[in-house]
Amino acid sequence: MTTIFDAQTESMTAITDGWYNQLAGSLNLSTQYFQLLQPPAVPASDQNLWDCLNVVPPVTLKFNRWFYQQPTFFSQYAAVVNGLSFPESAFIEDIGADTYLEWKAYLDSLAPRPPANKLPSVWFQWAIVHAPSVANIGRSDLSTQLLIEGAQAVLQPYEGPDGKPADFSPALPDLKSTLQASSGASFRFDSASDDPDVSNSWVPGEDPNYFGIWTGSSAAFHVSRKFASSKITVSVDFDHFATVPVIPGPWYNSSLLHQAWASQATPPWIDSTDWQNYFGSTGSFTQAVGSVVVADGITLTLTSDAGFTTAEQAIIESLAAMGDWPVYCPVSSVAVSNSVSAGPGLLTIRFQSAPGNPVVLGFNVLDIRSYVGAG
Amino acid sequence: MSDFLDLQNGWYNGLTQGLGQNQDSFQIIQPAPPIASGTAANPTFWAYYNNIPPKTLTAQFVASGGNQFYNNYRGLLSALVPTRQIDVKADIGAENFAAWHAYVQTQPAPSMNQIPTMFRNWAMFNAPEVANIGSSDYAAILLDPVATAQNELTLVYTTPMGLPVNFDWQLNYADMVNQLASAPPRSFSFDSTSMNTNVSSSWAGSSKSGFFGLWGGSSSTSTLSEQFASSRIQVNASFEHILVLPNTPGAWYYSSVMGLAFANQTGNPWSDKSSINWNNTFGPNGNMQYFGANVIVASGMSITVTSDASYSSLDQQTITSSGSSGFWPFYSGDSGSTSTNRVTFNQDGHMTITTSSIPGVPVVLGVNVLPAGQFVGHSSSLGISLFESAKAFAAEILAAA
Repeated sequence: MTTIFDAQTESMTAITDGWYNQLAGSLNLSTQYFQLLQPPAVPASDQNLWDCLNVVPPVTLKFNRWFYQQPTFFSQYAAVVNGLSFPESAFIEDIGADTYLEWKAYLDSLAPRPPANKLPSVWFQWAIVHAPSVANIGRSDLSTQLLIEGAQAVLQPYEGPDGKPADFSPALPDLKSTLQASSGASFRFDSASDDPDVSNSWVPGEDPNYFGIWTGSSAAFHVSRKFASSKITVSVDFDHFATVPVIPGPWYNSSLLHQAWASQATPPWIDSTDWQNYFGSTGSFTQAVGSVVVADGITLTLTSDAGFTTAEQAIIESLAAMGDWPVYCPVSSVAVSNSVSAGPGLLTIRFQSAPGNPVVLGFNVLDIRSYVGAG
Repeated sequence: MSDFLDLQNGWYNGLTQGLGQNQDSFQIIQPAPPIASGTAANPTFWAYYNNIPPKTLTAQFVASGGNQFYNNYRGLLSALVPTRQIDVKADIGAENFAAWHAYVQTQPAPSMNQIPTMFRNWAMFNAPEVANIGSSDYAAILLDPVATAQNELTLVYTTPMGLPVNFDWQLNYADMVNQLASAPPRSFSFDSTSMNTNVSSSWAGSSKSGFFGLWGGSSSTSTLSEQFASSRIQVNASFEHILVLPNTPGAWYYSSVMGLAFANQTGNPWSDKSSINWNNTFGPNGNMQYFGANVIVASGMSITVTSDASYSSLDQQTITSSGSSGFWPFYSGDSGSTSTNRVTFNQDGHMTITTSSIPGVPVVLGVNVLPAGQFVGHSSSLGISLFESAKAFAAEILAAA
């Protein structure tokens, strides 16, 4: 397949793909799953972190979060689960109408009424004496109903205007402690010897890099193209680095999502076109974040021999707080710093993140089929 | 001369053998994430067992929380029905049943387990010809594996409001740390000149994409990497403690029922009312095709790699300054992290890399991923025998006995 790049963004895309391969190679990440986050997240709270994880990632190696407007994982999951319907329990049919009346009379005589989780046991206790032949099918029906309802009911507190925010594992303190115990990494990138070939990655086709030299600039800017075609070296140190699985909170039930994905029919779907809307080739829920790639204590030094004009140097320097290629991390808190010094034929960018402030560099993205376990 | 992929495959096989693992089931977790103790130590540890690993294109473990054993098991149990319906009234006769029913209600609230014996005792005097069949019937009702498992799950692992309770596994983080401390040491070596580069029989099969970024800091096709890959590489690995830790799900899990479901593709015990069936559970689209049965944990890891290539002083500089973060399981750690590594060159330019992890800090090396058939295998025979005896249950024979 011939890949046709927009010539305007081609050079930025090429060095970013080279950086992508470099990161994957140096951090032992598979190019079958890895995705860069642009800009990265520097969460200051659990909620910040979860907001970053709560996304259906796009099919791109470079997830530009300014460009791609992606639905949240929670919204898609909730919509799918609410689009499912399960047959009414066959309890009455299975135990017979006469037995049901007797059971109901007994149940009404109980004060307080048994809680939901004890109902199958209370039934069984009663039925072994009064209706032994249907004792088991009855408790199976009641248990089954509870299992199905429970899987959907866990979602309710998270829905509606006053719903709880969708949580995930890890929480920020756990992520910090995992990083603290993790090893570091250091490596170098050199545009003279980098490898921009991503044809064997999970997104082999056209996949432009949208940002240019600084966060928010265009790859098509003259200054970006000049930068991208210069000799660039980057030396990187991570105090700590880890890949951590992302586990949706208690609101999530993997069995329900799998059931929705594995059965296109009605039931379980209420609307027969919904499956395509979510999981079809142009559906809104075709990818999910399997794990998150996080670094702590980043020290990055970049040099470029681009011949920037004095005016260009001044612009690049004045916009240092936007953050620059390759991490594109805006200076939004004291946890990160970015300084640029530009002279004739030598641009130097120093990016640092303070220890104890995890920087989410990317995701391992699974397609929905793998995500729900179907390989 | 070997190329990079050969070396990667060779290392995979070397590690698999060196750790005494089977190629069919071993999946390397990489980069080896440590288990950090703390508030979430147990859930983090159990997640290795509960998160069903995706069948990746490589033998590399790609962690994901999307597919979870506990949730799937709850779903599975909502799709099963009791193995058999036992008609007590027909077996003992309507008149006897009415008399027994009247009698049992006069008794001070009997516990369920007492019913078979109570019936037998009553019937010995009142309906001796059905004493055996009746008490067998009641026993069979009490013992139904599916209904019992469902009942247990809803009673113990469901809140009074009907919501799922968090899962547990029998061995927790502290148990793992204790067992690891007394686990035996292990060491092995690996030589690129005698390595086996065939990974076609590994559990994920061979793959063109490399599963080890063997040489970090440069692409796998760079001159330095090629030089490295084509040199004679010797690895000596030793672990102060290494532990293959099987774990069992908590009381929520009835292995016999899972075995029963696995052993019967259609019909009982599967409910025809559920959209969950054998195919979308254990089949190619299923969510329970694999299980992370064991976690392989090590501490006090020390690995030495030598390469007999002659590295120029420029190469040496590049390697040293790049921190040589790459040849698995190497990390250029600093103080406070779990492992450190050091690169030295001798006078001939041969390279030695030494990696060591902090003693006592558990590092996860891999998991054994078993296909469902194997995972339930140890328990399915019990499930099948329960099922067969339930199916073959013939009250008349018992009664005549």
